[in-house]
Amino acid sequence: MKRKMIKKILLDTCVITRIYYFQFRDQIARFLFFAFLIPAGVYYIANASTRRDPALGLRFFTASILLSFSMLTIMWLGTILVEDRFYGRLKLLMTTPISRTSYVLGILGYDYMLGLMTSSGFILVSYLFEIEVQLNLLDVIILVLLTLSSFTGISIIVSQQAKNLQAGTVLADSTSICLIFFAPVFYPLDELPKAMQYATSLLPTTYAADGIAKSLSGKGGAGMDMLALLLFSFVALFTAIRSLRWRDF
Amino acid sequence: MKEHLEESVAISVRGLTKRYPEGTLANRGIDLDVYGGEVLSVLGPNGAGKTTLVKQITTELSPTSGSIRVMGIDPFREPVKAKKLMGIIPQEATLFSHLTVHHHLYFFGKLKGLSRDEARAEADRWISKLALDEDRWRKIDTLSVGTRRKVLIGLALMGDPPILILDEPTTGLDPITRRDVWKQIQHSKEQTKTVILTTHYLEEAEFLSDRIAILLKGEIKVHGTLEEIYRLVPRSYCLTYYNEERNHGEREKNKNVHKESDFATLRRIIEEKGLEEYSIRRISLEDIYLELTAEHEEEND
Repeated sequence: MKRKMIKKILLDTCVITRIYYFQFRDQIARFLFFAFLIPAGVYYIANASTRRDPALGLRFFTASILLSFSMLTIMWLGTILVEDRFYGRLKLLMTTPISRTSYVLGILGYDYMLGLMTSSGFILVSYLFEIEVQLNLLDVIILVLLTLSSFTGISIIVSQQAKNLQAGTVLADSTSICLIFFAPVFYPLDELPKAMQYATSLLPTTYAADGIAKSLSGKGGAGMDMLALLLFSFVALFTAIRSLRWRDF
Repeated sequence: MKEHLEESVAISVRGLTKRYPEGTLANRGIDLDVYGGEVLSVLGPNGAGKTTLVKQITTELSPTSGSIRVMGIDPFREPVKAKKLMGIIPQEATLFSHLTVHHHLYFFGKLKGLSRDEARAEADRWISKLALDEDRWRKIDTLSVGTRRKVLIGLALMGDPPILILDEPTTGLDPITRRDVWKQIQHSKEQTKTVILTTHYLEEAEFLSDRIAILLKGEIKVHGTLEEIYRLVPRSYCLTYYNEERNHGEREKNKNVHKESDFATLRRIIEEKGLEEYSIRRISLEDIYLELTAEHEEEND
C-alpha cells in the first residue's frame, strides 16, 4: 500500500515537472534573460566597480549564479505560481487525484532542471568571466540542489501569501531581490552593520554564497553551509506544503 | 449493473453547513442523496450556495459541519481516493495556455492514474469524441472559449470516472457548442455515470436532468423529478389564444391565457370556444423557478 502511494507520488511529480517544463520550452528567451543576461551584466558591473580585483572575481561569479537562481526561482517561477493560483490553473490540478506533496515536488523537480542547466552554463562559460574554476563537483551539485530547494519553498510560500495577482508579483520580485542584496553575496559580511550581520544568518543565500564559492575554488569545508541549507530547505519545503491551499476554508 | 447503480447512492450529503470566515452562511444543513446513474441539476440564483455545495463535494472547500460520502468514501479523509471517482469541471478553472489540447488530455490522464499508453489512447478517444481533431496540436491560448470548454469536459471525462461534477459547464457558450456539451452529458448518462450539474440555464436542466434541486439562500427548497416539481404548481397546463374584438369600429387582437391543472379541461375550453388557432404548453421549469424564487423573496420581505 505504502509502496503504491510512493509510486503514485513520484509519477505525479514527474507529470507536474513536465507540465512546467513545457512552459519553459515556450519561454526560452525569458529564461536566457533571467538566467544569464541579467546576472552576467550585474557581474560585469560589480567587477568593474572594484577595478577587477582578482580576489573578488570568484565572489561575484558565485553571486551571479545565486542572482540567477533567485530570479528564476522566486521572481519568475514565483510569478507563474501566483498566476496559476489566481487564474485558476492551480484549481484544475487541485481537482485531480494528486496530493499537494506531489505538486510541490513537481515544482521542485522543474526548478532543479532550471538550476542545473543554469549553473552548468555558468561553469562552462566561466572563461568569459575570466574566472578559474577548480570544481568540487559533488559539493557544487549538493549545494546547488539545496539552495534551489530552499528557494522553491520560499517561492511557493510567497505565491500562497499574496492577496491578489499584482501583490503576488511585487512580493515575488522584492523577495528575490532582498535575498540577494541583503545577504553577504556580492560583498563580505563585515561590510554590513552589526545588527544586519546577525539578520543575514537567517537568509539561505548567506550559506549558499559561502558554500558555492568554496566548492568552486576547489576548497573543501562547505559542510556547515550544506547543513544550514539542508535545514533551510526542510523548513521552507515543509512550510510550502503546509501553506499550499489545496482546499479553501 | 445499471439497476444496481440506480439503486445505490453515489453521493450522500448530510447536514452540510458552510459558514465562510467573514460570516456568510452559504449552505444551511443540506441533506441530499445523488443516485448512481442519474443527472441531478442544482439550480438557484446567484449566491444561493450552488458552487459552495459543489466545492465541498469536490474537496475544494472544507465544510463547517455535516458530512459527505462519495461512493462511501469520506472525501476529506481520503481526498485522492475520492477525487479518483470524480471528473470535475470547477467553475473558475482555466487551462495551461502553453499546453496543447493533446498534452492537456495526456497529462491529466496520467494524473488520474493511467499508464502512458492508456493516457495516449484515452486522449485520442476524447479528441475524436469531442470533435477536437483539428485542434489537437494547437495551444490553448489560440482556441475559442467553446473549444476550451470542450477540453475541460475532456479532462473531466479522462479515465472514465463514475461521477461527473460540472459547475456551470455551458456558461458563455454559443447555442451550438452548448448542444455539443449536452450531448456529452447525455452520453455520460447513458453510460450510467452520475452527474451533478449546476446551471443558470433552466432549459438545460429540464433537458438533461433526472432530478432537480433548487437552492435558495443556502437551503434546498425543492427537490425531486421534473414531474414531482411540476406537481408543486396546481395549474401547470397553459392555453394561449387570441380573439378579435371590435372596439369603436376598430379590430383588436386580445391575448388570452388559461392555466389549468389538466389537459382535458383545456381541450374542453378549446371545444367550447371553437378555437382554431391556439397553443398549449406545459408550464416550464423556468415558470416554476421564477414562481418559487418570487415566493421566497416575498416570505423574506
